[in-house]
Amino acid sequence: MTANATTKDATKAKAMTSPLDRKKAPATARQDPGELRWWITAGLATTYLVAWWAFAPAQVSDAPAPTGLATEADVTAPPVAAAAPRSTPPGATNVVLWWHELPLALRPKLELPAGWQVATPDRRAAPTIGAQRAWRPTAAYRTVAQERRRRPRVRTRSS
Amino acid sequence: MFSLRAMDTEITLHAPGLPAEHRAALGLAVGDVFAAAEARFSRFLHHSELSQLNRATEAFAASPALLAALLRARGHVAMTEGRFDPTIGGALIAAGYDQSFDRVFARAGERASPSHPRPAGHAARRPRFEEIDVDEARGLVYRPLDIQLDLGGMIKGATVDEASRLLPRDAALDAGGDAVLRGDDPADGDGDGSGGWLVEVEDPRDPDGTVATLRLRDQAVATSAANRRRWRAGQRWAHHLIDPATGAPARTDLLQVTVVADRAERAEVLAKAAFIAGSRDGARLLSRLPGVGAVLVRADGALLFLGALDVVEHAAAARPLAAPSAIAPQGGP
Repeated sequence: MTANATTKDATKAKAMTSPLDRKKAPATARQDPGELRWWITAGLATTYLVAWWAFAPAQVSDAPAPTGLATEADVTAPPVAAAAPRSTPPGATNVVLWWHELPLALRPKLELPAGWQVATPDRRAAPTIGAQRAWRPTAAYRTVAQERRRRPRVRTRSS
Repeated sequence: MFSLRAMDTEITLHAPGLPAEHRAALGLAVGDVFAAAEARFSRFLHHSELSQLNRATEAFAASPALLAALLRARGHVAMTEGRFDPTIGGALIAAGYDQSFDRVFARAGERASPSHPRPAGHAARRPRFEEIDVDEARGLVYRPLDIQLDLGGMIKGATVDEASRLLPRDAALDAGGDAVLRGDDPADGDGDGSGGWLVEVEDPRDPDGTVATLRLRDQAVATSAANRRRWRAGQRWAHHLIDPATGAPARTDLLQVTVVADRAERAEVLAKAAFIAGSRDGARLLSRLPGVGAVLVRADGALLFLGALDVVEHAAAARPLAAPSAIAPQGGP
């Protein structure tokens, strides 16, 4: 084998592995996993950024309101009666009070509509809707004496 | 709770305050009481003392228990003006109730007639309990040959009374609706002051329904109705509540009578007698007896309360029965 032939073979081998040849090579069915992972990460990050920008503009002090979305100032505030007393001073935390826990002297006078009553924590006295009964009435029932719901153990019938 | 079956009935013992092993022992003792009563007084057991009396052709030497039952029955006949009468045994057989009821019911579908039909044209005699001669001193019973005795419901009530003597202070014994309620239901142990036991009164038109809830304490309750022990006899329905005046299943404007009394036997007898008598005469009968309360369900849906009852809840169609005259005259036909 001559030196010239050796150089030709080396050039041929180099040409077979050139980028041009690689482009023309048929695409394989499997992509590079690293490249796929990068694209997925980029897509998720973009989705998150768009969603954050679109739905939480108020959280970002410097972010301008996106076009087409209402800001807090755009939402019409409900009318507040000027004479309505505030139960809590501005800035104070609203608290929930149970009526029955209030001292009598502190209970405001309530004018309830006809048929309404103040519920009590006592389940026996509290009005219930659709309360489960131990028995099945066949006609409209009325209670003639309310008592602790004991389940009757004995049932009398003809036998 | 402890349950057993005797006298063709479910017997239930409620004694929540007792330890489980004591409750089981008590339940077995109660079962023995019922078994002994059934062996003596059943008219469906060939060797029972009552069956022997019904077959006897001459003076019958009765046991003290049978003698005592017959003497009490005599008192019940007088108290109910003859609407309770144990001499209906023959009429029950003629109506088809000649075996224990589960057998009668099973047979009714295939044979819709009494097993011993009365011969055509034969007018049945209407026996009366006065014809039964009870010689208490000699322990003998004389029975006309054509009279068959049936002490069914009365004996069931008496057995509940007898078994209830075994109960502890706060307990209840229920024999298919005939019940004795003693003391307070321990479920009310934290005490709302009401005490007693709550007893539901079944709606005779709906076995799952309730027409009233009563509170009973140291009392007994029993119910009579024609909605359960009934069967087809020919083209008609027959039931076990025989009217001694006609010798046939009672025709009445009442669907059901529940009686509260001091003893289950008394409650059972009065419930049966009032049912047979109808709402007007039944209320009149019950209202003159002290210590007796009653819930009457009329066929038109009216719910009538009589006497001293602690009614906890009741159906809307109810009204208190101030006096027997408050009922429209709709007595049994």
